[in-house]
Amino acid sequence: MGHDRKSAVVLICLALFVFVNAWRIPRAALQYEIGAGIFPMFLATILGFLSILLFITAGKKSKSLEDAPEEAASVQSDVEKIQEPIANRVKRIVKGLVVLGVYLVLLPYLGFIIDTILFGIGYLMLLYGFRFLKTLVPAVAMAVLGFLIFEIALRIPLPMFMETFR
Amino acid sequence: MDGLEQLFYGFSIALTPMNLLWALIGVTVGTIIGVLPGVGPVTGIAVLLPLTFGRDPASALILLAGIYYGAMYGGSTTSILANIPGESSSVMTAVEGYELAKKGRGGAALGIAAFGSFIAGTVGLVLLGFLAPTMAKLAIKFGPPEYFTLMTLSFTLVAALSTNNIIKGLISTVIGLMVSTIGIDRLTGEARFTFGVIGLMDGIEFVVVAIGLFAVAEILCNLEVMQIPITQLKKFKVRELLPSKSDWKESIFPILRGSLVGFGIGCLPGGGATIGTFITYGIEKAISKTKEKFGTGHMPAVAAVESSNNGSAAGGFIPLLTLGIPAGGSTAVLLGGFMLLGISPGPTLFQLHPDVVWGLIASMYIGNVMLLILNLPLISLFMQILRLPYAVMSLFICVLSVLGIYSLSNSLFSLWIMLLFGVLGYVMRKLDFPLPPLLLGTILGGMMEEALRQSLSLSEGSWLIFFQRPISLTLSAIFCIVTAFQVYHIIKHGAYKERESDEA
Repeated sequence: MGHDRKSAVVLICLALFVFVNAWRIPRAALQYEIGAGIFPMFLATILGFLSILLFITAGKKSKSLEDAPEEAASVQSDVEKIQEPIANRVKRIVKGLVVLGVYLVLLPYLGFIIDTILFGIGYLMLLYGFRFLKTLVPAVAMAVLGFLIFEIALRIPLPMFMETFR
Repeated sequence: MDGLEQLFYGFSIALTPMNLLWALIGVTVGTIIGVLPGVGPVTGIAVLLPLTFGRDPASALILLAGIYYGAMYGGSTTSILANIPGESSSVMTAVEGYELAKKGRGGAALGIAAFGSFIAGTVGLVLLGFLAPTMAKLAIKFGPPEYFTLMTLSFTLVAALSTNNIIKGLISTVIGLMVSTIGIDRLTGEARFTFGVIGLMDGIEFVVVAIGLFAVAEILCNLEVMQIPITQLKKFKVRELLPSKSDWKESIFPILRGSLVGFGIGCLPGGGATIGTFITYGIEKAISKTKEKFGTGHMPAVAAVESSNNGSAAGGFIPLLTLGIPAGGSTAVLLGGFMLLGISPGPTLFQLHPDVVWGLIASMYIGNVMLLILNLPLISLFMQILRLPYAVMSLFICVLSVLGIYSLSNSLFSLWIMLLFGVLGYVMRKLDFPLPPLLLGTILGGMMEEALRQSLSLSEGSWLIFFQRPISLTLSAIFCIVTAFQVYHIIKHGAYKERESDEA
């Protein structure tokens, strides 16, 4: 099953999920009052219909890529990407998400400045292979710049060390 | 107040020292965003939107609009000199401009692009100044049924014109509309799709969606492909950037044609700059006496597509200001900016907030002059930004995104939602689902639902109301024709079209 068909199946499930949940929303009290569930049900129906259409038409392409230089270029770049094993690319994406996730988790505990410096170092070393010393200047600059713009210039209070927020 | 008087009033607002400063900051930041590969205008405006909180609405919008058309200008520089289109609307500029640069005419190509953009921007703004109030007067007759059919038609047009797969474009829109329904319903007080999570009760802010979908997803996509560093960048003197007499002679009409075509396409929902540049290129090639020169580095082609690019930037403001309906991704984020500042774009905008709307239009004239002054002598300086490693640039975008969302909500929950939308945006990009329609759906979902429910209340539950009033009947008829054509196209040829998705 191709990507489009798999997407269509997931989207049909989403449409059903939204429809069922919208159906459970209590109806309007007055006869001609429009309830809160109407619009989501309307959307779920359209999504279901479109997903079925996507499933049916999946994989059908109208013209050759020779006539479409832009698509040809995108396919070419995809071919270049494929040269690297997919596992490596997925690993980098997951690593990126983990680094960003850890940054968010530690933000209320370490505060903006310390957390951003650590994030900058980790981000550049783990994701882009920078050496430790080379990461220091951009990481510190980023933290100081962010602090100056938001805390000083715009007067938006940023989380500080050991200060928790909602 | 009418006509010129309104414009002079706008200038009196735009020419205050503070607003001049905001315009200058906007166009400078916009140009930098345009120059940076992988940071389109949508990402740029979305990430910088939180910086406008608490500002005076006129100043904030002057800044955002400056970023928008500054990015349009900046895109040409990297396209011509390094063959890197900063955004999809600069693809045709790169095709012709880079060939000219290889022939040693890069400086003149940059010059004609800057002058062409300036002329197109000015033509577009004159048209905007005259057409927008007329459109607003017409739009004032719109009631809920007209608004609902107009939004339905706009979404369909966006899906049909701005993506390479109509069905995926529509699915993206519907998902965006679904996102807008999360939270407590304003009319009945019922919680929808919150699943007991308190953080979802207030709904999901569009800025969180925009930054997640565009900035975070962009960073994730770029983690897959390491960027190639740019090393050979030529420095230019201002004299080298001035086009010759013959360049002007052969480019002036393409500039004017490009300006008008770009403006016209820009006005259409889903039109966007990319389609405008492709159509302009096609027209120029079709009417040219020297067709063989196209694709080999042709000055009039660069002039025409760059003019079209900037003409459409001005055109995009017509549906935005008069109907409150954005023409594409960038104007969708701008619409969100209006809403965050407590201003609802639409037919009454010209009456309720003349200072904002005319100040904005006048600032665009001023911004155009600033861009011309900035772009010619400072091109070499802007190009130095390309020497900055992408890793550092993406780190900057990450931190700015987190700070932006934090300053908006003061909540860690919103940051996780941003990350979630980042993953969604990445997956959707991988699966070829366009992102701008999702954002458009999220922003306009509330308005659309309100229009639908008000219409059904008016008609006591009958859906026939959308076919009974003249304007909504006309819009419904156009919607039916467009949809029927698309369904026929899908059944006969499949869902794909020969075009890349448009983020502009």
